[in-house]
Amino acid sequence: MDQLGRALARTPEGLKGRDPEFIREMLPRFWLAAQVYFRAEVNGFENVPDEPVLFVGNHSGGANIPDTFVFTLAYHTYFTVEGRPLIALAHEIVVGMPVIGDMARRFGMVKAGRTVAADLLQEGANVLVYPGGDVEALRPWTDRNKIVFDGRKGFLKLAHAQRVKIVPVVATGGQETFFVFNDGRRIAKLLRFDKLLRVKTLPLSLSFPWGLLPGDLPHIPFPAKIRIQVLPPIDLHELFGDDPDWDQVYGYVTSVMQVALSDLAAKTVVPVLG
Amino acid sequence: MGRVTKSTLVRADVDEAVKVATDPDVVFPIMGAFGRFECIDRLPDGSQEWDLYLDIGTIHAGGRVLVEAPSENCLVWQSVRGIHHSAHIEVSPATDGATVTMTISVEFAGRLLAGWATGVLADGILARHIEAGLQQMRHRIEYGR
Repeated sequence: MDQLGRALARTPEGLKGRDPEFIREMLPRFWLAAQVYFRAEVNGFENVPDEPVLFVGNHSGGANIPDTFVFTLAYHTYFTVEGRPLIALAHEIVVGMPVIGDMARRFGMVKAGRTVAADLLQEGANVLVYPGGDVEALRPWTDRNKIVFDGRKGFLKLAHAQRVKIVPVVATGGQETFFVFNDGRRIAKLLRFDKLLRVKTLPLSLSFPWGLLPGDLPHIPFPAKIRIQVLPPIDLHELFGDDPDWDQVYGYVTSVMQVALSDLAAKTVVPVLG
Repeated sequence: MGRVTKSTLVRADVDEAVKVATDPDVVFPIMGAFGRFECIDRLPDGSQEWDLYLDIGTIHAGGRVLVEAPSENCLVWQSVRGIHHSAHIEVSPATDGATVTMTISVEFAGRLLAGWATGVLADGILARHIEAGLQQMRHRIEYGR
């Protein structure tokens, strides 16, 4: 009852809302679940420098984002809950949900925004961002091993302005926890979902227990094997100077991530099984 | 028989792409998909013998191959022992640079259901390895690292 009460309580966002004791309590059971259900493999944390960084990941799994869940748990097992706090930028739908939204905030999630992220980096936190957002999390099955950032460059400008390094994080398996048939951008635009809900895609998906569904709802994920690789940091000032060509920077960062993602995907022998 | 073809656009001059994609001494080490590779012999006619293996889970799949003498825009090899296969990497001009296309054809032992299942699994594995190799090659050509 005590746990239920805490889960239902409204939690503030950001470093104030992050609850190390809650994370410590939940970590063993969630990590066990991630290990058994997703056979999670996370490597490369030794690449993370001891300074605030912007983790940049590819986003998968529709409404469930299982690889974010696995990454957050793995981060806390590696750096401990007392280590540099990790704050993940999330869609407002996620942090606004009852129960799940509160749990997410206790784990350090905030509604995505550039000012919020800049403040967090200045306060010494590591920030996790998924530039592809819903567009990437709902990409079709055939693109499941592709980086789809949709041309968004705000994360690059954020890291450059705050003089923090980007640490790319690539993950496979998350997009195998349900099946997406198409990208559905035209339908989302036609129904004005992009304006009303800030949702830019409305694809046809297949998930359990919903079956065929336009878009996606929280579902029971297929038990796909999840592999995550943390890459060496990228210093934008060192590589591109004080006044970079953003198209060039975007091309380079997404290229580095695509190489690593394709390499990770090549470890898959049978999709879903791993 | 399984056959997988994948292509990638490289934003660089065709000549730059050809230099990397058609030289076995350059392309095999770049393509991390070939987890195990070693030049065995360089023959007088310009062809070469290599040991080439893909890392697939905990096994190595491949064997010794004969790489044909260099051509203008193509790298071709075929197996001489191990898994029976042939492959080629071809560079062609594209509007925004060059297209690098890689094709691997593999013969599988087994018939009926077993043969079919092996083929389906192997096609997926090959496709992911080729894609990974092409992406590594593209990045090397475009960014030189």
